[in-house]
Amino acid sequence: MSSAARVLLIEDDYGIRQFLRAAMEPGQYQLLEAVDGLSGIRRCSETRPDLVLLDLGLPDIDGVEVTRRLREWCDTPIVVLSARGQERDKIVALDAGADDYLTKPFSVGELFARMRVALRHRRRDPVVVVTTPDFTVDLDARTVSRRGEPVHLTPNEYKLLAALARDAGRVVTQRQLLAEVWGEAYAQETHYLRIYMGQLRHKLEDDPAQPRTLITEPGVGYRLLVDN
Amino acid sequence: MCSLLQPYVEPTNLAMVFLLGVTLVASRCGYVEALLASLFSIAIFDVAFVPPRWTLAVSDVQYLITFGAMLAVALLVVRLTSRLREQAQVADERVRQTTMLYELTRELSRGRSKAELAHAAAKFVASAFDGEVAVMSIRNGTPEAIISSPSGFELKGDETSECLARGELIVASDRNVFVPVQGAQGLLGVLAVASRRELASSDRVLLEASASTLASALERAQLSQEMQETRVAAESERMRNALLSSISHDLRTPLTAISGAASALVRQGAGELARTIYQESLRLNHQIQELLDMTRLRTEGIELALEWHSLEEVVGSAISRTREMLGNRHVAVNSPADVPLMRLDGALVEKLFVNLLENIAVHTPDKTRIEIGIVAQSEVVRVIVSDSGPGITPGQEEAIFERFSRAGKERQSLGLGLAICRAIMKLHGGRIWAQNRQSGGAEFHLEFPRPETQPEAPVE
Repeated sequence: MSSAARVLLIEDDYGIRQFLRAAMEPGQYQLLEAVDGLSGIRRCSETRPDLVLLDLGLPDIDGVEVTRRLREWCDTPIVVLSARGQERDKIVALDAGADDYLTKPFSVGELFARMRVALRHRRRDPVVVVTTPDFTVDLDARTVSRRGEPVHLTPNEYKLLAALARDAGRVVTQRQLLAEVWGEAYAQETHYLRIYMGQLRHKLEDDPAQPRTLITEPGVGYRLLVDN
Repeated sequence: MCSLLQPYVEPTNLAMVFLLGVTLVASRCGYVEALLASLFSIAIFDVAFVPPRWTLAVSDVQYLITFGAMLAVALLVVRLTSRLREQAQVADERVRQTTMLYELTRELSRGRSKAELAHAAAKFVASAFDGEVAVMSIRNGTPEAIISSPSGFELKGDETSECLARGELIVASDRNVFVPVQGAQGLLGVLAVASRRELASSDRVLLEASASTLASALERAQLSQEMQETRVAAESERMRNALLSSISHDLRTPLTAISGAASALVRQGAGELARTIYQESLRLNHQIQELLDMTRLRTEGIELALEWHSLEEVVGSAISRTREMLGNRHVAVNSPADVPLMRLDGALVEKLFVNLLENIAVHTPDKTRIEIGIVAQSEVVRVIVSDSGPGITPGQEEAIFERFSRAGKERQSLGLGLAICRAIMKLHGGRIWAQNRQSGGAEFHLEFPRPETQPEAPVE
């Protein structure tokens, strides 16, 4: 990255703002702040940041609403910060267009990992080849190989893997996956994902019961991890 | 008086005056006295005022009619006034009884507990009937408490059982009576009276009325108590929920800043102190989570968010979540293909395995090998989590599942981890227990009921 990425933090709690301010490495990130939803939306349109960190528990309008309104006119990556137990809000925010999430309390390391992934997706052209320690997916040729050998996947297995690979590093919600592979009508059939993710893991992971790449985000969706 | 009037008044009017006298006597005295008075009046009238005077004979036969009419009227008057007096007596008695019942009701309305009410009723009836009273209350058919007035007498006899069995007033003798205390919802007890005077039927009516008043009061007390209990339960539920959401959000917010700031310091190489702050803030967060889990699980009527899950996947997530804490302990998972999808609350079951693994991490040395085996059987699906560590102290296999149980050196948590595991298994209709492996180390057995059906698999 040539210049510092501009990150807009929309967070009402003083303590969290303070530690994030101190944590941002000056050369890498420049932090902008807003203390509630409405001023956050305004700041976003004024400053056009590279990334938005959005707390879901805001005093004026809730984080999900902020996500919706932002997505009406901008595609800046949004990472939502949620408290444990707010599963529903997280999923709704992700389905409304947020790119990823972090559960409080989180460490700075986790935060940077998520931010990196979100920024990478923004800057790059659409993904063509995704390489992971376990396998490689070529989205153009529609092939998957493992240790040099091609892996045979059924059409749906491939579709599922491709959906995860296109958003490599980011979480994809259950609903988004089901809609992409089977259609909107199947948005509630979470057991499809259980079955198919199990099949993919058995074909692509060294230890399917302890996956390194095809990760479950409990209650939310799945993630194809690229920088383990 | 009549002789004074005589020169001025007609004999017929004198007769009226005599009748007046008879009536007065009848209204004051009894039937017999009035009768005698009327006969006596007629005689005097005859002797003193009817010619020939001073004899009982009469000159004019018409006077016989007069005497006859006088007698008849006198008798009628006597009868009527006697009856009136009797009715007045009965009415008085009724007023007395009603007043007594009213006072009993008032007395009972002050009472709060069932014991107080029984005491009040016993005292009242004892004084009203001048005797000894015992009250026995029953609950679900068996005797509950016995209250008796001062010298007390036996309530255990046959009469009591008969009274309870038939729900009717039993007369043991003309002084002893056993009255059932019958409420709207059923028999509440027995009221036994041993009176010093004879008990008339009006007394029995009064006793039954008293018993019925007592029954109403007892039922009212019961309902009021239940209402109170419900209100208290609802209030504590409200408080519990408020507490939960407070813990969830308000306590976690400063904790986020603390652990986040500490992690930043650690990254920037600030040294041991920063690491301590970070570790301790994680520990605090962990303990808050434990409390939160336990409180939520102990909420009555907790609803599981059941969905189809793969045990292999849930176990995998749990291992991933505890990876840092497990350190260099190796975990091997054996999950055969014939294990069906399970109907589980994913978040809770993942928490269960996380707690189990954390427990193992705390109680075993570095490099301990952990094995997780999933086995599908006909009625259950079994998961066995075993380790090659020192095992469980013999005799403690059940005790470790109790709340706040911690092995001596463990300070990391509140000791709720395994208790939470058990609560979660119970919610899923399964069970968990621990034992030592023959080859050394501990073994945790989890049994989930096997689902009878499987969801439809998608078609390619």
